[in-house]
Amino acid sequence: MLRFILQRFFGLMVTMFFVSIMVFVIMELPPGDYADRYAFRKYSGTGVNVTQGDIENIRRDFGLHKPAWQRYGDWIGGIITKFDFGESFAFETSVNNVIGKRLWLTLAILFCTLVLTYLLAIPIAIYAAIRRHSIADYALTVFSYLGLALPNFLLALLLLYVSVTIFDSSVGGLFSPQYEKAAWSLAKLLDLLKHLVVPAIVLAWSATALQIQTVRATMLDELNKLSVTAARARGIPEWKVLLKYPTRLAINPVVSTIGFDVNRIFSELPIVALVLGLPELGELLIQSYLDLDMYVAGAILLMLTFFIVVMNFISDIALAFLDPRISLQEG
Amino acid sequence: MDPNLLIDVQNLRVSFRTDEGIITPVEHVNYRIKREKTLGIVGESGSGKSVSTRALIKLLPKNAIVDPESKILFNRGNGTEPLDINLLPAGSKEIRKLRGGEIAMIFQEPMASFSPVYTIGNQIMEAVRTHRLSSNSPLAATSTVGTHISESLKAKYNNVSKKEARSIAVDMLRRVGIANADLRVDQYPHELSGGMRQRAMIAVALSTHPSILIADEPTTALDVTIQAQILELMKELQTELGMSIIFITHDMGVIAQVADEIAVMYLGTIVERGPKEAVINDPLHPYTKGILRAIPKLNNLGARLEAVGGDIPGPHERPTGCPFHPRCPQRITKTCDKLHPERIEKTPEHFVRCFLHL
Ligand SMILES: Nc1ncnc2c1ncn2[C@@H]1O[C@H](COP(=O)(O)OP(=O)(O)O)[C@@H](O)[C@H]1O
Ligand code: SF4
Ligand SMILES: [Mg+2]
Repeated sequence: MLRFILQRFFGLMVTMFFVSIMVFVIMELPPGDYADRYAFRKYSGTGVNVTQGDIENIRRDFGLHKPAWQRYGDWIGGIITKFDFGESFAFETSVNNVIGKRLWLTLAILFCTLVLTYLLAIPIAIYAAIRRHSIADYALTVFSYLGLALPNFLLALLLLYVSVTIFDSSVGGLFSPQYEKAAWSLAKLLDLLKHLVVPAIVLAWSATALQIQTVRATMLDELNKLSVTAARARGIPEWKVLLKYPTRLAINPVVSTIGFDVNRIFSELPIVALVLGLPELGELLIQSYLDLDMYVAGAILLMLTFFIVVMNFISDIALAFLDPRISLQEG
Repeated sequence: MDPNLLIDVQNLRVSFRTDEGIITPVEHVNYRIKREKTLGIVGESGSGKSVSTRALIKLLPKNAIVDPESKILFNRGNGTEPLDINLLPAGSKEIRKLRGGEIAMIFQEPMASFSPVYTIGNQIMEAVRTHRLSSNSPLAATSTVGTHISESLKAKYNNVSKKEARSIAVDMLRRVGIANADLRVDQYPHELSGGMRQRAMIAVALSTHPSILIADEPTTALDVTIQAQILELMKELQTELGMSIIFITHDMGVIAQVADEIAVMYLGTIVERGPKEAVINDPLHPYTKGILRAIPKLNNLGARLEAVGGDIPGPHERPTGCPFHPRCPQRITKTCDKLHPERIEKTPEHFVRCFLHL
């Protein structure tokens, strides 16, 4: 098992290395470089005549005169050793300052969405499979098709409308106005959770529908296995048979798609965030592209892919623990 | 009930609700199992061997209906009334005690019988801890099926501990001939060979010291040498543990090696049943004669070609009258296709359903 974990960890490092190179290439793509944009931003409209020499000086100040591989080294080195993602050109402060809060809020949304998806999908799917052909089973099937068909942002708008008109509460943003600037407290945390519910429901909606279908199908498969009949023939109580044998295996496809779910949540988050007015990373990523604020864009891209890769790693390891056949095959 | 009998099945009839209506693939089934003896059930695939034996522990799919008139009598011994298993509700505690505890079962596919994600030992210990009382319990020696032990007494003499169950598991693996049992106990099914898995499956089944083992085609998936070893092992354990066996197969050659009594099934009915020698040396039913001729003999390998002609009808096209009449070379027109033959005791303990023996 240790060997399997080390192998996967090595894989993670290699993936991150290639990802960081790709991100760096993307950061270099816009025409001109940081010095050009810095000079333009700083002196335009001030009447100062910027010479080629001035730009050259700025370039030297920022180390931009070095070859690309050295600049990549500086950038990634700063991130690894000092957790320094560089300077934001649009905000005129460090990238860390710009991203900071949004990073934690994005992670909070991600975490809430995943928990909500799995808490709903797994028990519902298992129930539907055990009560196959019951009214509940058919109702859930209809629901899950609906879930797949309804676009996210539409659901977000709907929930926004419902909560404002019926519950008279603001779901937009992450905090109610009175907590916006307040220091962290239990009340503020509860307020945050209250605001996370709607985005979590919106983002969990289609994933839940999808997972219900996969888990239900796997569960039906597992229920027909001879090993389940054999366990019943041993006189094990039915609830224990169901939990220990088919359920345990029906969870595997969920675990193996955690990375996929994270990926999907990150892609859907910006639209949902836009509708709900959430200050998260995806929205900032789009803004930073528009501003050509490439250090910010790079940092966000790197972080989002890092989470996906790490979640994939976790899901691989968890799966190996759940299914002893996996680590033996490859180990 | 005759104290030598363990199980007496009378008029077993099992139907299934299907999308095309109700089918009754098992009907007019009567068989008895003597203590410490082996009943061999032989019949083509689909003849109802599995359904008619799984009914003994109500291990049937949800769409199955067992006729409430059918009787499945289980002899609890010491002069008590026999227990009619058919009267017990499917999910009841009594049924669960019977399953594994008194009536254990092994299946054709040893690999599929084990869950791949738990060790062999885990699955043996699960059976042991479900059924066996701790060895220092005075209740351990008595059968607990159908007897009402007060809850307080049960709490006092708990089921075996994990540690004890593990040593029972290791011991059981050793007894079924698995070397390095103390290492094997922690291995997963895929780490064992096919023959070893079937041995382990036998270990799971026998770890609770059941009164009877139902072996549903236990050697069909194994190659011939391993098959012979498993048959030998089952015989050994039978004498050692003093249990009865129902051995299901579609291979008359295998039945001849293991059975004391033989029941021949055709289309959900036992068409002939009797002591092994009587059935093999003096078969009464035309179907039995047909399958006996189909066993290849060393001096006459070509004889296999003489097998029973024709195809088995599907479950929705059960013939009227004698179920075998469309394929029977000796059928009596206007009788065999109209009337269902009753059970006839031709010689003591040798039964047949055929109008030729009226
Ligand atoms: N779940 C089920 N639903 C409907 N019919 C079934 C079901 N299980 C078994 N049967 C019917 O019972 C017949 C006998 O099956 P089975 O006892 O498994 O045969 P055997 O073990 O002799 O090969 C089958 O041919 C099939 O028609
Ligand atoms: S009853 Fe008639 S059809 Fe059936 S086996 Fe006997 S002779 Fe053949
Ligand atoms: Mg069968």
